[in-house]
Amino acid sequence: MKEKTSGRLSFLRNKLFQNLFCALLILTVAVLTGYEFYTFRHYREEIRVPEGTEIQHLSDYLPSLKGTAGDTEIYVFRGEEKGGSLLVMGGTHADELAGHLSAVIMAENLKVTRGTVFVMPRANNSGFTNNFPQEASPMYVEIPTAGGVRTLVYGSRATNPVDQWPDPDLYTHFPSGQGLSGSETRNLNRSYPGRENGSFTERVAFAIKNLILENGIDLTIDLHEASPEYPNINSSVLHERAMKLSGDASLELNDIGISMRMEVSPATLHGLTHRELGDYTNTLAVLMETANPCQGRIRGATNAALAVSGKDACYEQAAKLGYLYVPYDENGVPIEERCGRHLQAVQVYAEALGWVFGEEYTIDMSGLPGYDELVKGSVGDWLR
Amino acid sequence: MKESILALLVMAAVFAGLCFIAKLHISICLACAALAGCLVSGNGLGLRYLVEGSFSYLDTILVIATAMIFMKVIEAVGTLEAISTMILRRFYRRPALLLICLTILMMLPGMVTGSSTAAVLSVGSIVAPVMLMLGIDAVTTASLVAYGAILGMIAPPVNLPALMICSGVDVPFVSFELPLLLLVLPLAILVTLIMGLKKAKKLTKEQMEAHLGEKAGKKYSWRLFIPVIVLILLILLTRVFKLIPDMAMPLTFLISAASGCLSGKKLPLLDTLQDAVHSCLPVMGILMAVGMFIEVMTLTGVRGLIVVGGLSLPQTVMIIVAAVTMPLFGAISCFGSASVLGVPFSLALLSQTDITIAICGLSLMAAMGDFIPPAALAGRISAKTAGAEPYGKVVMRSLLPISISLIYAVLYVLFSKQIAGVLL
Repeated sequence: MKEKTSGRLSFLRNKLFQNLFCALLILTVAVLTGYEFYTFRHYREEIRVPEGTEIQHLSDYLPSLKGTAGDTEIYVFRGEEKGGSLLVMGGTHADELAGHLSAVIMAENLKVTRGTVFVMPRANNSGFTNNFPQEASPMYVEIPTAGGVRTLVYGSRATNPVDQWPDPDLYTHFPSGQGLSGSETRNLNRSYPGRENGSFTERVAFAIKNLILENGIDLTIDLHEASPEYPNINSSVLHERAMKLSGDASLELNDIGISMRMEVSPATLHGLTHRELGDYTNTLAVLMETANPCQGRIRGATNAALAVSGKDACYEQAAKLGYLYVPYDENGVPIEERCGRHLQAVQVYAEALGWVFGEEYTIDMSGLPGYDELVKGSVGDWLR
Repeated sequence: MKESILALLVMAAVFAGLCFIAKLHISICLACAALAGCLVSGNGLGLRYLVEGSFSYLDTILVIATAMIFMKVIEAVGTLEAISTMILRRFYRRPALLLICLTILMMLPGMVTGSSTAAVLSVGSIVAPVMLMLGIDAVTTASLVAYGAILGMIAPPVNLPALMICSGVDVPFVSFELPLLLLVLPLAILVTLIMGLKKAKKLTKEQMEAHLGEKAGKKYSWRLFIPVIVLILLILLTRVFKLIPDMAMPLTFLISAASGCLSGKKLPLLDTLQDAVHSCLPVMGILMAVGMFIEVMTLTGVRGLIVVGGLSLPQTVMIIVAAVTMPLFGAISCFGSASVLGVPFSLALLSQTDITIAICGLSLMAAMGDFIPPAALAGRISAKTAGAEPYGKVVMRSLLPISISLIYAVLYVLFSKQIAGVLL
C-alpha cells in the first residue's frame, strides 16, 4: 500500500513539476499583491475643499514635477485684506497621520479674511503611494463622519522607490556635504533646500522652496509626528529667526493649557525644513511634533486602530519605566489630541505673526477647531 | 500583549521545528515562521506584508549577486591566484605583519561600502587563500575573514549601523571618525594576532616555493589585474574623491567584472554568471526571508515585546543587556538590530553617556550579529570561501573575537564621557 502511494505521488519528485509549481505559486502571489500595491499607489484620497477654493500645484513652481507622483495640490485661501502669509505643510512624512489630517481639516474648513494661507496636505505626495518595508504600516485609516466613513492614506516616511531608486549606501546632503544613511535620500525632510536637477525628492524640496520664495511667505509650519520615546516631542523646532515668534506663541499656548517646548534647530543638522528653509528663504521656519505610537519602535501590534487611537500596551509599560517624553496612560494619545495640538498651535502662531512683526503681517482666519473642541468631539466632525 | 506573546511563541516554534526537525533551509523556515505569525495574529495569509518585507534587502541582494559575479570573473581569469601568490612571495618571512596587513585589507571594502557582505565577497577570496597557505586552518581563516569584514563595516568613514542609529535619534553623523578608529583598530590587531599568529608558519624561501609549486616562479601579466584596478578606481572616483556620481555598488561590480574581458584570458561568460548566481542564491533567500520575518514581527507586536523587554531591565545593567540582545537580534539582521534596538537603547542612554561614543559602541554590538546564525551573512560567506563548513564550527571559533569585541564595546559605552573628553 505504502509503495502504491509513493508511486502515485512520485510526480512530486519530478523536477519539471516542482519548477512549474514554484513558478505558479510565485506568479499567483505576484498578481495578488501586485494588484494591492498598484491600487494603493493609484488611490485618490479625497480632500473636499469648499467650492471656489484656489488650487495650485507644486509643479507650478517646478514644471518638471508635472505628471509625476511628486506633484501635489496646494490650497490657497486669500483674505480680502492684505496681511501676512502662511504656508502649512502636512504629509512631509506620510506615516505621520496627525500632520496630514490637520492639514486636510484646514483645507476643508479654513476661512481667511486677512492675509494669505497656503495649505499643502500631501507635501511628499509620493510618500502616500507606498509603505516602508519592515514597518508593517496600514495602507489606509478610516474616520467615521456624519456623512459616512472617510478613508485616508497612511503612507511612508520616504518617497516611493518606484519614483526614486536605488538608494546610495551613503546619502550626501546637498549642499552641506553632510553624510546620512542611504535611505534618507528619499526623506523630504532631509532634502532641503533641494536641487532643480537633483533626485526626485530634492526636486520636490526645491519646488517647495520656490513656492516660499515666489510668494514671499512669512511663516512656514511643517506638521509632523514622532514616536513617544523621541525627546523632541510635543514641541516646536524652529529656525533661530523664529525665536521671538515662537516664544510669544508658546506662552500663549501655555496660557490655554497646551505645553509646547521650543527647540532651536541645530546648525549642524542639515536638510530639514527648520534649518534650510530658514537659511535659504526669508520665511520663519517652524516644525511641530506630536506623539504617534504607530511610528515608534516600542509599539505592539501595528494596525490602523493604533494609528487613530494611539493606545498601546507596550507604550504603557515603557511609560511606567520612564522612557517616554509625553504623558502616556491607558487612554493613549488619540488622533483628536494630536490634531488638536497642531491646529491650535497653527492658529496661535498665525495670530502671533501680527503681534510680533506689526499689523501688516496680521493673518485673520476662522473656521478651524481648537484643541478643546477636537478633544471633546471627534476629528470626523471636521471632515466634510 | 497576549496576542503578541502567542505570535512570538508560534513563530519561534515553527522556525525551530522546520529548522531542527524537518531540517529545511533557513530561508524557508523563516518564511514559514512569518506566515504562521500572520495566521495566528488574525492577519490571514498576510501576503502583502510578506512581499513588502521581502523587498527590504533588495539593494543588498543586488550587491551580493553582482559582487559574486565579479568574484567568479576574477577567479576564472586567474586574478585571484595571481594576487594571493604575489602577497605570499613578498611577505612569507613576516607572518605577523602579513596577518595584520591582510586584516586591514579585509576591512577596506567595508570601510568604503559599509557592507561586511560586500567586503567578504570582494576581498575575502583574496585573503582566505593566503591565510590558508600560511598554515592557518580553514575554520580560523573563515573566522578571521568574517571578523575583518565586520570591523570594516564599523570602521569610518561609512558605518551604516551607526548612521541608522543617528537617523533615529537625530544626531548628525559628524566627529565619528576618531572614536570609530579607536574602536576597531586595537580589536583588529589584537584578535588577528591572538587567533592567527600561533597557527601561522614563518616559512623559509624553500618552503614557500614548495608550497606554491609551479606558481612560485610564475610571472603574471599586468592585464590580469584590470578588473581589480577598475574596481578600486571606480570606488575611489565615486566614494573618496567624488569626481563622478555614485553609481552604487551593483553597477560598480558589474563594470569591474565586464573589464575582465580585457585580461587576455578567455572568459566563459554564461557559465561564470550561472555559477555566481547559483552560489549566492541561498544567501539571497535568507535575506528575503529575514525581511518577511521582521515585517511580521512588527505587524504582530513581537518586535515591541522584545524592545520593551530589553528596556524593562534595570538601567544599571542596560548596557550589558544591549551587548547581549543586539548581537542576538543581529542574528536576523545587524541593520535591523541597529534600527530596532540601537535607537531605543541610544535614547535611553542619552542623558547618561556621550552619545557619539555610545553610538559607536552600540554599532559594534549590532555588527557582531553578523556572526550569529540563522542569517550570519558575512560569516557564512567567509566559511564558504575558506571551505570551512558546517558553519557551526566557525561560530564556535568566533566566540573569542565576539566576546572580546562585546566587552570592549561595553567599556566604550560605560566610559563614553571619559573617552569623549580625550577624543572630541
